[in-house]
Amino acid sequence: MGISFWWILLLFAGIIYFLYAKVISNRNKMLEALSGIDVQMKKRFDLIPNILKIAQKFLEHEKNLITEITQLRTKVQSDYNKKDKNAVAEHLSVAEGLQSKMGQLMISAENYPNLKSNETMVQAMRTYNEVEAEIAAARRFYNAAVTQLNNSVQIFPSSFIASIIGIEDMPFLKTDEKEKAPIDVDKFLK
Amino acid sequence: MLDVFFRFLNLFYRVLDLFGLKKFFSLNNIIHIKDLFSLKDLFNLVFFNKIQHLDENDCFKDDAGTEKPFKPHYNKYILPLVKEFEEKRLVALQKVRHRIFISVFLCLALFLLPIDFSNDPKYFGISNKAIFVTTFDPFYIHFHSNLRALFTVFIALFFIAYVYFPIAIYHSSIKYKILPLVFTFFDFYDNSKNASSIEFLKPFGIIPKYDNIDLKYNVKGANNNVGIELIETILEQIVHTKRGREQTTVFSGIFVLFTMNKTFKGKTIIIHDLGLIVNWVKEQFSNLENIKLEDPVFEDKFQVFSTDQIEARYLLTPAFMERLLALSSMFNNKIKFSFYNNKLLLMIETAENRFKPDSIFMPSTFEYDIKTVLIEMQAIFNIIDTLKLSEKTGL
Repeated sequence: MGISFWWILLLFAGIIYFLYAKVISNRNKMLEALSGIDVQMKKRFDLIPNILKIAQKFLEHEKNLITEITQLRTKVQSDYNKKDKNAVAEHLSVAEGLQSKMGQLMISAENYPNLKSNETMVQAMRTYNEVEAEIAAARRFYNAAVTQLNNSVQIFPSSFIASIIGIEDMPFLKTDEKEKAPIDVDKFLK
Repeated sequence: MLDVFFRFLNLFYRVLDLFGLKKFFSLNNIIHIKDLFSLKDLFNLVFFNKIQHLDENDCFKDDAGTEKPFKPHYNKYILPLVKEFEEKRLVALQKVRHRIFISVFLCLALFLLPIDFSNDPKYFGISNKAIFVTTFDPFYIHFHSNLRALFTVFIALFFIAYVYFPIAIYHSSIKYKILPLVFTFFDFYDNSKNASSIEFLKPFGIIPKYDNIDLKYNVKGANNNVGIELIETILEQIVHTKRGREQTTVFSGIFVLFTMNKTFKGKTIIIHDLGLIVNWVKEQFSNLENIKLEDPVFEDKFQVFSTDQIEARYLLTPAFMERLLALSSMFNNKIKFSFYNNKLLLMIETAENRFKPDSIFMPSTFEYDIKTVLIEMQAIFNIIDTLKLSEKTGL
């Protein structure tokens, strides 16, 4: 076998390695992004009890909502397998649910002037909004990382490598259907 | 030949530098020299000693469109200095006039004298009709007609500089005494004593390497609860070429430092897209990651590097990216951004001085100078509105 055969083999091995490294690094980037969301959600997790404590005094008619939030908060903190597509989708779905319920709580608070003007509540809401902004940024990073991972998993030839090493595409963070619906402003202004 | 010319020019600048005069004659400051090319005014000055005088009753027209009128501030702080500067201006113009006469006389004497350079290489060029000694180049050179022409140009440059010098001094005094008073109208103060260099901006990661700095001004203040620091400067780098040491301008423009309405820990820089390979190299050799964002227009125009992927997206929301694009087009895309230490630094490149003085032939009312400052400050404040830096939405 001539030298040129070994050079071709070396080149081929180099290409395979490059594709392998690309898929793995994209997967790791996605895991990093997912951790980023969890870190930001931990901040929200720590903030929620303070908000609920203040809100409970005023929102006597929203006890169901407060209970749901408490339950979702506990659920979102439970461990999950970051490499399992279904477990990640479930975790993100619970996180989305929590965000939705917190949004409802903030809207309900608007109907209680005493709660709205409470200094501690104002500060807590301001901090909450900052944390939400950071979560939004983390979600954008996650979606960008998932795009890159899914591209390498679905497009040949890296898809071939991904299928051999068992890396699957991951779900995007999707907006809740209710949040996509147009808002009836009149409902709020009554 | 060109080589010899640049050697002469280098030597000329080194001599000026030795006497601390280089800042008046640097190519970037040469804007004041346009005063010498107001031919009608120059003609009237030289031949008729005719100068436009100050009308004390009509010093300033307040039509720059500022939020509050500038005229009361002008009457209180600047008007008292108008007479003093008018006297300085008249003295400077008389000096220019005398120097023009001296220069013309010397030039005529120098070039009407018969000069004959021997073809025979010698250290001193000596003829039997005139003696002309030169020490411009201690090295062995042949004198011939081309070199004589070059020498003529060099002498002309020297006399232009000699005539121009009083104009440069006069404009310099306006810059140091009048401009700070204009900035106080916006509650901005002169910060150049506290920050005489821009070393504190280096951590932002967008300052080019430089060897010399010509700091035009450094002012600090606030608008709409947003802290602003404004620095106009020229950065030069010394390069070694075949002709010797040369100075090239690596940046000429302004730095604007805003306090941000968001808190962040890392560093995010936004520069123009350098191309795939350069972006990759930049990422490998710095601790910054290349950030891919969702806005395709923004991605096409800019490249973002950051220490934190999430923080970069926290700062660069889709709405903010749109605002940055709008701002960039306002400055012909010659702008870079950096977020660091809870501040936003804008590096805006401009080919000419932002704050240009009026001609020395105009009376010292400073109307033109002041209006230039007012318009420029308004442009800076518009940046705050464009980027919505004063809003704390928490979103």
